[in-house]
Amino acid sequence: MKKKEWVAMLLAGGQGSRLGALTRYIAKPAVVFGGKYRIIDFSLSNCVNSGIDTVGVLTQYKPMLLNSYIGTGMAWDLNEPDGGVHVLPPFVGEDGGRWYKGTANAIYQNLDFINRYAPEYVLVLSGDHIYQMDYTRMLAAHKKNGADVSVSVMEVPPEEACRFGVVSVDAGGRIVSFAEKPAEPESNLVSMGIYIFNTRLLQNALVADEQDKTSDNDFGKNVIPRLLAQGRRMWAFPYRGYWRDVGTIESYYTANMELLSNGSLFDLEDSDIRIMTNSNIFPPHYIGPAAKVRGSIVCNGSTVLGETTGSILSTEVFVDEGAVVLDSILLPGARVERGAWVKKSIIGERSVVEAGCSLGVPRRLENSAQDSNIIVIAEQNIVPANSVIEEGRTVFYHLAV
Amino acid sequence: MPQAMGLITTNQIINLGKLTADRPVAAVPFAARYRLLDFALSNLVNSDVRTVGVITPYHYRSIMDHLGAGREWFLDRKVGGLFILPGSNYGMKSMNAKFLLKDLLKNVAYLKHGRERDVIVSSANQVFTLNYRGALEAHEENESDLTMFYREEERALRGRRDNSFFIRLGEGDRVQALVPAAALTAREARRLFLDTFIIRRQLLLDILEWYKTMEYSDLQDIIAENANSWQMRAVPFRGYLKRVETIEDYFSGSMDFLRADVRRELFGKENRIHTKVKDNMPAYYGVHSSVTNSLVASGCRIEGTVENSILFRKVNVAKGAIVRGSVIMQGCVIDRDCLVEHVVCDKFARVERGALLKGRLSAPSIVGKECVV
Repeated sequence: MKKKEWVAMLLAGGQGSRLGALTRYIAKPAVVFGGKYRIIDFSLSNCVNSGIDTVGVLTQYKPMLLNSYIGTGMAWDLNEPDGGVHVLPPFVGEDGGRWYKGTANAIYQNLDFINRYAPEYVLVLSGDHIYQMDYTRMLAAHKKNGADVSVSVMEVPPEEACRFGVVSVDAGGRIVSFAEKPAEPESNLVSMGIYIFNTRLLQNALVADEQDKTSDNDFGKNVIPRLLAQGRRMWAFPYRGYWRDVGTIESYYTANMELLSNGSLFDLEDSDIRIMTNSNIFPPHYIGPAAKVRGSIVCNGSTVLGETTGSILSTEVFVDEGAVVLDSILLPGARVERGAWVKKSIIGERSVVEAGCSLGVPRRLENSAQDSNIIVIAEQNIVPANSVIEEGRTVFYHLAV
Repeated sequence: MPQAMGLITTNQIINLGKLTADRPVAAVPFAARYRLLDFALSNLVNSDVRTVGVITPYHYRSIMDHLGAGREWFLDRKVGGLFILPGSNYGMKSMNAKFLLKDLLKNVAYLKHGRERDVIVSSANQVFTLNYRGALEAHEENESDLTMFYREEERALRGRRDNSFFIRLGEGDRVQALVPAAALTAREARRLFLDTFIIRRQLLLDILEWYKTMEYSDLQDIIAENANSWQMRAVPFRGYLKRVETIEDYFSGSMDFLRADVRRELFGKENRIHTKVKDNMPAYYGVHSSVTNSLVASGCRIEGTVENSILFRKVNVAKGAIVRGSVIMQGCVIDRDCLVEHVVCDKFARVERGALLKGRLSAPSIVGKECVV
């Protein structure tokens, strides 16, 4: 096997519990974003577009859909004979099996996978962020700095820094301190959860972390601070593009809506950095004779006979005559039936809003400028005909048959 | 379950004007994201056929570009798979054979090496969806030599299609004769042969041996000549069919996809039409766009008005532009304040600011590939 310069380890095992109803059956990286993508498409495509041909995807929480979605990796051109994409779930060994205890432990348990390819560097990523990034620039900086570890960082508004790992750097960009979710952040430079490690160093760090019984086995909380305390050469790699953590319903909704602001915030059109996806082949979508579609994104397989404004319609969505969909996200297979009114809502995969329903700020109050919370209809649900849901909340009705 | 191998012929000369200037009819883009060939190919793979040979014409670049290794049709396999069979460069446009014997003779190895009992043969210029499973089972059960598919037409088609054949039925579903259009009675002109049939592989090999000195024959003429010698049955097809032989066929067939019944039949889940995947972003509709009764593919960006039209992938319709009753292929740009009506724009055409382009519903204007208006 030819020697590899780097491999990527993509952490995709998180439940994403703050996405609530959207992750009832699937892991967060498998949630649909921007109509036709799943969140993991962004990191996987970034890997491929950066020339990485070997990716380990660490799964744990409800991995069925994610496993079948990734498949052989063909959809991302990752069906490489000498590498490719490998789904790495927790497993059983001679001394029993263990769940992944944390991000660092997940990779610790798969050191064999890394050793099999014996790369010089390991890129550690999260599978639940929306961004386009060329990792080769980060690797070049890592080498130029002679770093042991590089951490990709970005600036956020100071009041938000406390939600992230906060980094302080010296004039040359070397990291001098790292604090995971501090109450009082020292700077507004935060870690994006993207790390490049020298492989040997990573191995030693993970073995040491495993031996520390007090550790939470987390990169941000334990491994990075420990390496910094040991005086390792740790550099920040500044990133200035679009990056979103879509970990909550609000941030998920907002990031989706940002796609509408001018068609796209990122270059989904440039074929050199295209976001690849394992989509089924659906027919083109059909816009009916009386339809009105404005400021919206519509995916293949959908039929729009009614009205939709400021919304994202995923694949195989159906909006019937007389139905109105405003500022909403319809996930794959969602149906909005005749005369229904859907405002600022997320309709889960294959859920149905039956005729005459009113979701969100009702039609008669539409022009009063009040904002409302987001309504979430969990996947495979039926909202019975003529239901009225005014305030933002998550709704679980009985399962659709 | 009986297994058959597939054989699709795309080496047929059909003139759709500029649309076939540098591509065979099989590769002509159709219905917003497909090529005509996808229909014949999907019918085979949806009937569980996993060995498919495609006879290509001399200008096969667009077909190869589209098919690749056959991944999207599940044909990148160890056992069976996709076989590209180079056709002959016969250069005689007057021939117009549908199943040219020379093309089959040149690729006889494909047929010889097959292990299946039967071969499903079809042309690649028809839009229809048909699952062959039932017919194939009956074909083997009856130990038929040939099973011919035909469409029961409502009206007689006599005189229009000169190289079409029609089926004359004998007792039950027996085929008594295959009749060329010119020799028809009005009643017979309703059973149009679908250019699609199942033939026993050994019989096909025998025919190639018997007729090898007459390589410019059309296989369907040979079948017609020998109708009485073989066990030949007919299977009716009652679904939607559009045979694309003229630009009018192409245009009216495209517009048929604005009908709900046609979309339901051809875009339904059971017989999904498979095609090459490109991973474009979804279509974006601007805040001032107005789109009605149209079929739109991914990657489009629409700021203007679109009515009764078919938009392929990555079409850009600028603010103030109006597109009516047209077929706009992949990557075309309709700039500001244009009016485009009853027009077919081939791939990557640009209609520049303020241009006015009008064809007739019965005779659409065609803008060639990469042309600038």
